[in-house]
Amino acid sequence: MKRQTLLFLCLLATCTFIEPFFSTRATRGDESLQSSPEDKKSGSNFGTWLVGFYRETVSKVDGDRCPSEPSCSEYSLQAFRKHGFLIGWVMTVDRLIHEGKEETKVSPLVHSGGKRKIYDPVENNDFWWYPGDRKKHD
Amino acid sequence: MILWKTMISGGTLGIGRNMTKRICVLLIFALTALTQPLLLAAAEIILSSDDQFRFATETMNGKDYLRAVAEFERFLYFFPEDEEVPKARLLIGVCYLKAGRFESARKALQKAHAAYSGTLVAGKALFWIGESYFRQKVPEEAERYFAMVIEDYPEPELKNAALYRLGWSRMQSSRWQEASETFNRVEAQSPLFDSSRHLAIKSLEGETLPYKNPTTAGVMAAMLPGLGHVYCERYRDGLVAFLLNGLFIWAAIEAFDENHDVLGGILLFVEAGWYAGNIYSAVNCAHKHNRHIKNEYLRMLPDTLNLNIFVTRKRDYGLALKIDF
Repeated sequence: MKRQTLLFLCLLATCTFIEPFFSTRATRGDESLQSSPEDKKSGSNFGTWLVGFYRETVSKVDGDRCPSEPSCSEYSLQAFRKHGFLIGWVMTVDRLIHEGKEETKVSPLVHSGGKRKIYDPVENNDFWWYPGDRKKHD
Repeated sequence: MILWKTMISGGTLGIGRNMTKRICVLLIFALTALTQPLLLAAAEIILSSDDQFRFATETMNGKDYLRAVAEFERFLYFFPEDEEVPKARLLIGVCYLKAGRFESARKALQKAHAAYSGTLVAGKALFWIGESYFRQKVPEEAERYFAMVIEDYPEPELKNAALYRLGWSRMQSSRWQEASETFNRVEAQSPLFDSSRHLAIKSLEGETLPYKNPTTAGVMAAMLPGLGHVYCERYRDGLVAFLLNGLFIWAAIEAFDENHDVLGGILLFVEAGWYAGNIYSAVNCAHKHNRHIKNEYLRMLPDTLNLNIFVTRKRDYGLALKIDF
């Protein structure tokens, strides 16, 4: 049984670590990433599938309870598309931890759907290691 | 002719009264005929290049920037040989910039730079490209353009303005010492001199702001989930991180104890994500805290460079600087 567990863990870890090499995401400094938002949308992986599943099933019942803009699932989807599964996952966890009121100290508030929400896009959480495509877009 | 005949053969009865009426009718006809060309002339629009340029500038001053772009484009189309054409090209870029269309602004300014290469207009186009990056908070690119202006265009006002903005860009990228040195290079005859001296001192204070060390936050989060957040003064987030990690670790241990090894493995795998996310989140919080502290500090510093380049009606291409007290 222990061997089976170890095997399963190894398989999961292997899938996680090799995934970025097969995903369609662009790496830092790659021009294709900076070319257009459409390019980013093409990046799909296990993470995007999971978020899609969540949105189709749980979110429809649970409703919109996220205090941030974009919503947590949308943020997660963007993170998976932009940085691949591994970093996308870590950034999703980060978002779930910091989505509370304390975030208003460092992020602006915006009006969205008749509510005041915390504006916290992916660029707000990867700016310190991924300068990315700020200069390319208006 | 018929009318004339009728009038002449007006008859004998009531001739005076009829005659007056007919003269009135005649006069009305004559007046109508005479004023018609004038009315037609009034409907025509004769627009001079000055009028078109003034209208475009006023539209820009009214902050209707995208309409101003259209008006400047109209000016360029109808008066391509006018001496204000270089100015109009620059103003198109400026209008885009003020409307927040940074990429369009840069395209327009690059065109102006290429069209008047080696002239002062090209220098100003470069300056505005740098300004677009500065406003977009991309200081590395802004610095590159301001440095080019300083190196290639020795015209004092333009050079001093570029030095001033270069100092600001270096403050944006937290290079406080270099920023101070740059501010000190602004020449004494510049209207920006006093402000630059002040900023040269204040920029050094940027190094002593109450920053949080991201590495410390990360290490603390690795030692105990949530501790990194506490270090960043985000106590509630720290509690969330601690509870989530604690619950998953506890659940995994319980699963292994109950010999549910696969379930324990899955829980451990998910926990690995929570643990890594907790470290990332602590480091991220420290960076966001530092950014916030820095931006607030920069916001409090006086930026006395109020650029009204080329918006005056003067024919020269001077750099208009206004100091706000």
